[in-house]
Amino acid sequence: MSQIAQDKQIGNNVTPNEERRSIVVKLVVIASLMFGFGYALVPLYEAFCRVTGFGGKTDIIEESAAQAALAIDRDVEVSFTSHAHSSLPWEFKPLTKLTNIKVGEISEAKFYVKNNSKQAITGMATFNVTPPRAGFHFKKTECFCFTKQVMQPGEEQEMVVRYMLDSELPDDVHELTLSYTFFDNAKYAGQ
Amino acid sequence: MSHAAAHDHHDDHDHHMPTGFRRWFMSTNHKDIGTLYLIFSLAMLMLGGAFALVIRAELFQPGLQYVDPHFFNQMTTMHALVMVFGAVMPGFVGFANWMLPLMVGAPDMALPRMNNWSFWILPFAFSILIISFFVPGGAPASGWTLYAPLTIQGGMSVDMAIVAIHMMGISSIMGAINVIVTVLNMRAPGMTLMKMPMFVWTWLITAFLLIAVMPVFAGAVTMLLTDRHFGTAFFNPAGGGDPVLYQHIFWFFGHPEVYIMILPAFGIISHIIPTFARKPLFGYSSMVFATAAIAFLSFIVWAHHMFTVGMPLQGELFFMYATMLISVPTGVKVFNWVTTMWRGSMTFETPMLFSIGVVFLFTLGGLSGLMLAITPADFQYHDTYFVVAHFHYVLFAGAVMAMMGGTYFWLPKWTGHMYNEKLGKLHFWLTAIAFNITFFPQHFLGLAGMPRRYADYNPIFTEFNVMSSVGAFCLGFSQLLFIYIIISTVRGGKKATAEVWDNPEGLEWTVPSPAPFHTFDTPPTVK
Repeated sequence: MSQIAQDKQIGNNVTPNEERRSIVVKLVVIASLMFGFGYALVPLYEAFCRVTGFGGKTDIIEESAAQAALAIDRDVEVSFTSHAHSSLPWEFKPLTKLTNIKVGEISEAKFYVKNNSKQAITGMATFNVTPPRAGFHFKKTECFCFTKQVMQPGEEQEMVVRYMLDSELPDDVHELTLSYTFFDNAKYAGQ
Repeated sequence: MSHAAAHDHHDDHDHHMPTGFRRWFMSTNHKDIGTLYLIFSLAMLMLGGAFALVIRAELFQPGLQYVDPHFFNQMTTMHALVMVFGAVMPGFVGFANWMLPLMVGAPDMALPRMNNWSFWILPFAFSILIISFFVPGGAPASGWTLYAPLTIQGGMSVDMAIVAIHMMGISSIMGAINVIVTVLNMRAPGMTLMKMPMFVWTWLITAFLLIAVMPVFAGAVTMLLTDRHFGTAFFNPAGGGDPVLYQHIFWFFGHPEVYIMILPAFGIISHIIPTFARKPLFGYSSMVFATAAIAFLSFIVWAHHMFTVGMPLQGELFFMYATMLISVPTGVKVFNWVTTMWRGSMTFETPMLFSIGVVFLFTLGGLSGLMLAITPADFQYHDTYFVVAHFHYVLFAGAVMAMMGGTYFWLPKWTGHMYNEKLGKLHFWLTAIAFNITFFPQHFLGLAGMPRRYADYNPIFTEFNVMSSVGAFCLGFSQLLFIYIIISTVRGGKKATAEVWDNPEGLEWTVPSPAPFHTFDTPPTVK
């Protein structure tokens, strides 16, 4: 019980001013907590996406676990699209545009990347899977998107993603698309 | 005891009224601050209306006539920011300042100095926002939602808008704290919570909504600011952020915000309808609980603003059903207003006309809201003029027309003069008819697929756009009549009695008209 409520009960004089101050303090605390709540939504949303695959997030799997998975006789058509953000002078295209793989089978897709500028640039690729509900079952063992990529002036590279589809993939998904975008990461170099 | 406390705040100008600069700039008097808020709100209504007329002039015919598309986008953005944060929210705070102490029998708001501060922040906040027109790149042009990643790329004006939003946010939070403390701490002896007038109840609940969501919005724009300048990546995909996260945080604020703008309007018409139906409000306690239910539900429906971002089916279903659930308590309120009028001895003075207009037109807006709540249908309606029509039915015909009705209702109490009834009725009919000419055709435009926020359109949409533009200019210029009526009522007119209307209910009618500078120095007793 608060001091004020106690005072009231034993008949001490509680001035309206004291009571007022205590309400104001509580309300200011609530407002500050709600400011924090706005920030708390960031990790909450992260966690929510990771658990549900919301927003086309994909999952990561250990190579050994992927090897152990059994391929089943179910074909899925996987297509790849990629582009570099307009602020990044890179060429970025899929070398494999379309492939048919079996669920549970490990596969690789290659991308061609070239830095057309005269400076070394650090890029970071983001990705998503359509339809989003398939994202969670798209498992990568390794990917160029896991780390930042530094490209020297004029450098060309083939970049690889190694992935599999797990057997939980919803039955009505017969085709899916993995899309990559390379962004200029210079602004975030320190992180 | 409370008598002495009331005087603590007035020891510098005990019973004489300060004048000039001291009266208006250093005011701690709830009536003066209420007046300032209302004048500010009216000025912003005119400014936001002028922006709207630029939009409607451009859309009068297809093609580009008067403004370039970038300026057009600045107009849509600034129209919304000015109307939401400058006209509607401060308008209701003005009503709260004037009426809450009178309604609960308190001598003033609980925190008079903070009250002064929360008003005087606003002119500075809006100056910053308006000055952004003159910086390189012009005013914000991203829509009032300030969606990332577009706002991460915008010019200096986005930073100015963020600062202005922080200031408005601080102002509304202080206003909300003031309302809550006044209502919880300063009620006259005998006025239990369930005896409080409806306007007090709706404002109490609105104030809690404000305290819960304005800080979340402040957080969202702060993240935007640090993304822009300090290398964080909350929303910038280049650094691993997620632009959709911004939409979630924004609408977590944005949906309760629309109830912040409508609940006090519900309160106002819950006073006007019983007065002119000459019956007590039907279902008082169900009104209170319906208001609380609407406020609670407003926190769990935000994603219905973003059905098309690509959500899992379960999420879309949840937000669809939760949204539809809101129509239950809202329906309770509409039912109660209609039942209050049922077999009443109704007369149709201007405030009553506005209130009936609100009940009718707000319900129409609610129905189009239900259509938008249907997820599969929303994929068709999303970001079309159907949405524009919907939210103008609830915000203009709901919130703004309720404020106009409230102004006519309490103007005699504020000024001591009766307004000109003939002109008031004319103002109502001009407003109601012009409003419908402006916005009803927009339903059809939206259903036919005309998207929002574009300076140009396919010529097949021409006829309805012409109607809408003609209506908008009538609507805009009709408001000059409103200003004329207010000014002439302030200056003179038939003397108003203390009761003003025929046997109205409430403590505010027990003080003389105009309400003296200090009222309820000795608290009244409520039976």
